[in-house]
Amino acid sequence: MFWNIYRKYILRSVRSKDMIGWTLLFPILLSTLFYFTLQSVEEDMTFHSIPTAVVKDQPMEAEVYLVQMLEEVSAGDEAMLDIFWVSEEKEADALLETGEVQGYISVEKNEPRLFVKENGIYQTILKNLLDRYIQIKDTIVTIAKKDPVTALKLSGMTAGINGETFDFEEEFIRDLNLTGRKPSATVTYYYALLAMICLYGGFHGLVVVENLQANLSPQGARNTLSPGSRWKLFCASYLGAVTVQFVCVAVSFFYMLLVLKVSFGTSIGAALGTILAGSMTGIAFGSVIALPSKWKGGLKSGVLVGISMLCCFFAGLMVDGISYAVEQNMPVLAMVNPAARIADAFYCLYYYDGYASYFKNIGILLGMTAVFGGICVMATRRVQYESI
Amino acid sequence: MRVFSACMKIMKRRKLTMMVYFIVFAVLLLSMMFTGDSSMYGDFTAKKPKYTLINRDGSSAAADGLALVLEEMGTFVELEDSKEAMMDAGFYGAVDCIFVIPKGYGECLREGKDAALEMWQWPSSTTGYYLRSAAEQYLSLMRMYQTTGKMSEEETAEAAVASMERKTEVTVRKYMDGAAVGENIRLFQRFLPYILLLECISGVGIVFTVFRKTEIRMRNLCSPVKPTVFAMGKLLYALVVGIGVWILLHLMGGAATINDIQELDFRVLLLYLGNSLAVLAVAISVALLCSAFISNENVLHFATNIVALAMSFLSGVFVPLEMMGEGILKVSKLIPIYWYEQNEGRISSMTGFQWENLKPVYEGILIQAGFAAALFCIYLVVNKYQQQAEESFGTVKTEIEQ
Repeated sequence: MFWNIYRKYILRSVRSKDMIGWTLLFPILLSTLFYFTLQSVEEDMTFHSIPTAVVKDQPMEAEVYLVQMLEEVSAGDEAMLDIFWVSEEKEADALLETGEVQGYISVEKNEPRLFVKENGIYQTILKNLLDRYIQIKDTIVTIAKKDPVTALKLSGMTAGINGETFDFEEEFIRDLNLTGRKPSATVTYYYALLAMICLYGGFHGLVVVENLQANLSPQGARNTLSPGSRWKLFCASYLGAVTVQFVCVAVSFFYMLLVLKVSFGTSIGAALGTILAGSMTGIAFGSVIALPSKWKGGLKSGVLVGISMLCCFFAGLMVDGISYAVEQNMPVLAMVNPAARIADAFYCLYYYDGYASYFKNIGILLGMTAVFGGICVMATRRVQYESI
Repeated sequence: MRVFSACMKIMKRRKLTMMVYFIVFAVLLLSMMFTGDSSMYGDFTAKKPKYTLINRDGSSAAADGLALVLEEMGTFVELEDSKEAMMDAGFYGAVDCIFVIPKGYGECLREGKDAALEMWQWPSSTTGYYLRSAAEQYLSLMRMYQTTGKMSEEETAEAAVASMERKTEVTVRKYMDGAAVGENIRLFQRFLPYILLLECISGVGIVFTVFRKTEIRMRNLCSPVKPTVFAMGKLLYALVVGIGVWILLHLMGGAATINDIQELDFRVLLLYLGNSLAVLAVAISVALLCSAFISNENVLHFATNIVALAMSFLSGVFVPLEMMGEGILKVSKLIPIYWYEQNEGRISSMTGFQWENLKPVYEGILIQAGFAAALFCIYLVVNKYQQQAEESFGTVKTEIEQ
């Protein structure tokens, strides 16, 4: 009987072309979209030139090195700044007001000043650039008091006096690789997407439990009459659902791995293990939501989708760095979020050389599955219907 | 009005489901507002990143100076000097970055040889980048002082720390009355289209899938109601849902950002409302068009997510437009939400209400309205075809046949 129900569940799912089609199409479409959007973000991470106005009046022209530095950073195809040279502060102010520039630079009392109208990345970059200039200038002035020759040599950094220049490109900091792989922020989007698909396995969970409840479906009425024990019926359908869900998610996984070249670490077997554990948790989670017999199908789907979306948001599906913020501020919430655990298990395979953290995440997922499954078995056993 | 009344009846029967959708998506919007990427709008230099400095070279003036510079900019977190401890701290976000002073570093520095610190930082962490550039600048200044050959290590470190304290004077210009737009208001405005799309497609789709049921569809097809009248009835329902959701979300957003709103120029507020009404029109048109193809509730969930996530990702809701490449931006311009996000940026940095300031905002709103009208026209055509085409019966099976 067990394998008969298991086989029938798989057949039933395969015949439901809508569900199978969307379960496959959903991650493939979205991961392709992620691929094109995130690839362009990674390629263009050097950012676009920042439109900046510079007031080239008398005090500015007196600051020869500042002008030279600004000319250098605004030259070439990959210029940091897109400079609008203006002769009066009024003009620069008008450009700032109309939003044509992110800020403008002028010189007062031999010091550059930055004018902006809001805070943001561009404004911070402009400030850092000027800070750097001021600090180097201060250093050269300090050195000049003790050693004018060296100061002259240093100040020739852009003019190249006597060919002796200070190497400002010297590498002072090297990247430290804690693992063999470079940390990546973009892979987490794909991992969170796989987590979402695993949780959407909850739709199978709804069907599994509805098929056991006589007041919710004709199959439920038939199954209630059968002599089979309720937990066996549940386990057979549940296993069938896990099989279907695992195959669907695995297809998406291989698409990401082979077509989009998303890195999942070196162990494909462990990654498939994550998919299996995630699918089991998702289906068990859906089964729990299906338990209240007075809730209609639409309401259950709504609750399932809603909770899954919230879990996936906190796992980093929409905004990069959210899972990191939740982990820091609400560690318990992060711990019980199945989507975060699935995404983290994938990231552990990518990030760590060992498997300790990976198994910790898988353990939590299996623990959740056991709790959800236990609730389902306890809630559906020995239920009798006075009337349907 | 018959179609509209039928929609309202179905909605009443599904009010619990719709309430669940609304509550979940509203919570999602609030979460996005309060945990979103605020570094896009805020001054990240004001935040104190967490860092660890591991010194394997023993005490030296250079290391002490570096510790002093980092301490001023971030919060020090003590960590054991082991690979596992560093990996765990990085993975669980206990630190934003880790600096390691390798053995022999001080000697190399004194002898003028190549010496480099080692550093790990969380990917794409702006705060990590901020500390990194500060450390680089400090070491660069130290090297400059060192070239004199007349200063001891202690003196060079001390002088470099002193130079690092020099900062640029920044003036934030204010061009009109009212406070600058608050970070939370901007995040609310930025994520609003995604939530409106989710709410509208779900709220409209959940009712219209009922009309797609075979027997109800067959019954409707033989009724003497024109396809346009049907479409208008559905449009009216979609408008009621859309406007209802729009009002509730704005009340919620308003309550969450009440302090910022009180200080805001009311004309900026009006522009925000106009912009979000335009994107609401887009969301309603998209919802109507989707409902023409969605046959059951399970498919509705997948379709809702695909449409909302895809449109939002491509339009700069989640990944800022400034970071997108030229190629993808060309595609983004074909999506109405791109114009909404552009307008959001313009309104937030509005400096006046002259025609030259307002013109691009009005243009953005008109483009969105144009997209909404075009999508609605496509919906009317699809709706008419579905109501009239003989082909639509081809795949229809009655419940008995099924």
